[in-house]
Formats: sequence, structure tokens, C-alpha cells
Amino acid sequence: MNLEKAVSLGDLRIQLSKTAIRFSRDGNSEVPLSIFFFSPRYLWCFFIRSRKLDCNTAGVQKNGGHDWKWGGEIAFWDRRRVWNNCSNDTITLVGSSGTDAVWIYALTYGGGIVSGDRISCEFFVGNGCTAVLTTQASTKVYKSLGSRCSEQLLEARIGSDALLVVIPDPVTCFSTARYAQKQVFRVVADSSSLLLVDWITSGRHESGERWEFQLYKSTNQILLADDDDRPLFVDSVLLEQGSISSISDRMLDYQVIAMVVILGPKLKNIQNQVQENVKRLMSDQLHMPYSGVRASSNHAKPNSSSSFNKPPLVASCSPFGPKGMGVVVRIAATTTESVYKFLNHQLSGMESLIGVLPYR
Amino acid sequence: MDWSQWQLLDSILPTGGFAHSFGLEAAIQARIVSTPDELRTHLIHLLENTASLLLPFVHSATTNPSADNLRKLDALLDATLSNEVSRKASTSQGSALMRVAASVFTEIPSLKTTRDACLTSNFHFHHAPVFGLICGLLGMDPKTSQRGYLFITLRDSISAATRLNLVGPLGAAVLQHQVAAIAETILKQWADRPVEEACQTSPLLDTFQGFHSYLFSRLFCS
Repeated sequence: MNLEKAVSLGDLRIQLSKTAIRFSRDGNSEVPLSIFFFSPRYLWCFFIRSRKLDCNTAGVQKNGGHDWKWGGEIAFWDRRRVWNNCSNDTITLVGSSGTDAVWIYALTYGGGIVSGDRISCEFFVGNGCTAVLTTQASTKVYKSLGSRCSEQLLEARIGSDALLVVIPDPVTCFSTARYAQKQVFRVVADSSSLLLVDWITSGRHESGERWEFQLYKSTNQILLADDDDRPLFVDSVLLEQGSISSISDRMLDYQVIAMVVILGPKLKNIQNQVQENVKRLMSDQLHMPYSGVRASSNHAKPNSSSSFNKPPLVASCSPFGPKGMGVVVRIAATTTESVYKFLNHQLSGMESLIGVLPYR
Repeated sequence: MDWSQWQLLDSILPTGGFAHSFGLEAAIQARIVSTPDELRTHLIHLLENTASLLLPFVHSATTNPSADNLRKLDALLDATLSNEVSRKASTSQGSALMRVAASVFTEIPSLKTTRDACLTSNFHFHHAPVFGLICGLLGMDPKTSQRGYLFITLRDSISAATRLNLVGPLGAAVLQHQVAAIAETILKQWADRPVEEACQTSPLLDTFQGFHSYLFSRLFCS
């Protein structure tokens, strides 16, 4: 990977409807962009790789037959890739309507973002459709050269009765990296559903790199498309090395922070379940009467082996929006593994909606 | 500063600030904060987070104390305070402050009229914009109103710390003075920013605030 050259990958646009997936890419870039689609319902996988695109849009038609221009049998985690040998970039989805979900992996240089990279994607999830956006591996942000900031922008519009599931691996910013991401979701109130996971680890913490990046900013906005883009949920986290306190100070001993947003009618059951689970999980941790904290601290300072250890995973869950339209879960943990387990457990109800258990 | 401004910042003003611990009670029960040192750290992070997230709202309300702007800020802050515990704390303090100010500072009729207008619409009375509005109408400049907001945050969280038995009254006063110097630095860094840039710098605080409602026995509302 050439760390010296910052590349703009151009604008990627993907549109999923009941009968078609349309993708387009603006910008004139030398860089190959890989998009990996998968539909668990049919156990097929198609892999599109395009070099310099001459045409902007590729239409995709769905027919009831067996017309696979691209195809191949693949197990979900196998990732055997199927190469196209067709001259026109079309994919055909087989099958009738129903809750088929389409998984989309956007692959950027094997999961790495280089200083100064700017990536923007626009997704339209048509009425009644289900789309899953995910990554192949944790997104690594490399060191910043000349204080340049890497940026990712995601804008998604979720139609009526549609579901968008965003379940990436965590972002890992390496020492001195500078990275900002903004994700904007436009939803139809009481109709669109969204599951959003946004999380970050402290760096290569097994090599001792803990919260050593320069800047990380993540902004997530959910706007009500049918109410003049009225903000329903606005969250912006900024982790920047500061003079008053370092990022590491503010994170205490935690190495991973995560946020999960669950919104919409299709996810109501999961919403309720997660609220119950988190409450139970944390109540167990907190249900210990504390007495005169000052009394104990007047004596020898409690050492790390005493019972005053910070919990290895803390989480809280909170409803937001009118009539508790959505919930937001915030998690902090000392290991990435524990958050994977937590997410896998809490989101197990998603299997019926998207075909596969997230975060296995 | 004149008498009205001092009265606004005095803890004796019945705005119910004493009912909130700013996540401290939850942090103590989760064993995140147990010693005076950890308390000091917690306070600094709390002030930084308050500054990065809420000062833009205070600033905007002070510089533009119109009912229209107030409504916009209130709606945006309601979407920003995604944590229900923080949201309720903010609205209860804000509505109490608005009610008190309208009754006390009767020489400023717009306080009452703004309050009445807001009562009829879908207004939440979030604390930071209301505080900024009142400061602006009392003639405070934006820097002072933002400093004032940090001051009352520090004042109330330290008061909570003494009632949670984490520090004694004299120790609290010493700590408040020490942290005040740092608060001024925080103010300089985060003052006068637009609301579009409002962000959290200590996301852990939001997590701790969130599990306040899971506490089995508690002294505070938040």
C-alpha cells in the first residue's frame, strides 16, 4: 500500500429496490472499487469489480427465471469470489418478492484508509427492501501525513417499510491518525427501520498503542425525511488529543466504545429485548450497596485487586424520539472481543430479518 | 456583575439543580469513581464534555435571545441529548429555571411572554438554551454566560459529590477552586462555537449517565 498517495475513491451510489440494484460511480478515478453483494436468501454471491467506468449507471433487472449473468455457489464466510466475464456490468437477482435482504460490502483497499482519503457513498433503500452494509474487516486508519484528515461520508435514504442495517467492524485509528466520518440517515417516521452500529477501538492495543491517534470524529444524524429533515437523533463524538486531558485519560481503562441505534417498526421486538437485557446486565453490576466511600479512601488507596475494579463492560440503553421511536445503546469495554460477543448476543434477533447472525 | 446576575448564579435560586449528580452517582456505584482524585478527574471530563456539547447552545441563546431561535435550539438539543436521563434532567432544570426567572425578573416582560409562548408549543425547555436566553436578557455578554454555565455545572456536581460522601464540604470548596482554573482553560477552548459543531468529548460520561436509571437505590434524579 502506497502511503504517500492520497486517493479519492469518488462517489459511489447504490440503489436497492424490489426489482433492481442500481449502482453508479461518479468521478474519474484510476482506482478499482470493489463492491461485494450477497443475498443470503439464495445463497448466491456476486462480486463486481470495475475499473474505469465509462458508463455511469448499470441497470439491473430482476426476472423470475434462472437468468444468472453472474453467479456461483458460495458459503457466506467462504468468500470465494466469482469473477465476471461479461462486458456489461449487470447483475440479476433471482426470486420473487419477499423479505430478501441484500448484503453490501464496500471494500476499500482491504479495509484500510490512508491519510487524506475521501470516501463518500450514497444509498437508497427502496420501499419494502432490506439492505445490509458491512465491512470485511475492521477499518484501519493509517497515520496522518501533514495533518491531513481522512473522511468518510455516508448518506442513506430509507424508504417506507424498508430496513437498513449498518453493521461494520470497528474503526481502528493508528498512532497519529486523523479521521472524521459523517453518517446521515433520512427516514420515514414510523415506517423506516434502521439498525446502526458505530464503534471504535483504541488502536493496536495489543502492541501498547492505546488511544494514540490525533483525532477521531464521528457524527451520526437521523432526519425525518417527511418532516422537512427535522432532526430526530443527532450524535457527534470527538476524540482529539488535548492539552487538558488526553484521549486515554477520558477513556479511563476502556479500549472500545460502541454505539448502537435501533429504530423503526421492524425492530420493535429487538428494541424491547435489548432494553431489558442491558438493564438486567447492568443492574447486576450495580446492585452493590456502597457505604461511605470517603471512609475507605481515607485509608490505603484501594489496589487493583480489591473489589473496587471497574466493570470490564458497561452499557446503557435509552429511548429517544417521540413515543420512544428508537433506542440508543452505548457500550464501553476493555476488550474488543467482549463487544463482539455483546453485539452478537443482543442482535441475535436480526437473523430472521437479514438471514445471518451479525458479528459471529 | 450586577445583583440579578449574581442571583442567577447563586445556588439558592430554586431551580432544582441539587437533584442531579451529573452521572456521578452512577459512576460511584459502578466503581468508576471512588477517590477524591478520581472525582477530580471526573469533574474535569464533565466540564469538558459540557463545554463541547452545551456551550454552543448557551452562546447562541445569549447572542440571539428570540423565541424563534430558542425553539430551534430546543428542538436540536432534544435530538442531541439522546440519553433519556440527561434529557429529562435538562428539561426539568430548564423549565424550573424559566418559571423562576419569569417570576423573579419581572422587569423583563419578554421572559414571561416567551415562556407563555413556549408553553403552548412542542417545547421542551432544555436547560442550556434557557440559561443562555436569561443571561442574554439580563445583559450578560456571551463569554460571561458561557462561563456561568460551566460555573453552575461545577457548583452542582461538587455539591452532589459532598452529598454522596465522596468529599467533605471544605474539601469540596478546595476542589472547586482548583478545578475552576482548569474550567477557565476549558472555556477558552470551547467558547463561541456554532451549534452545528456541538459534540461529546467524553462519550463515557453519556454511558454512565445512561445507567443511572438502573441504580437500585439512589439519591439523585440523574
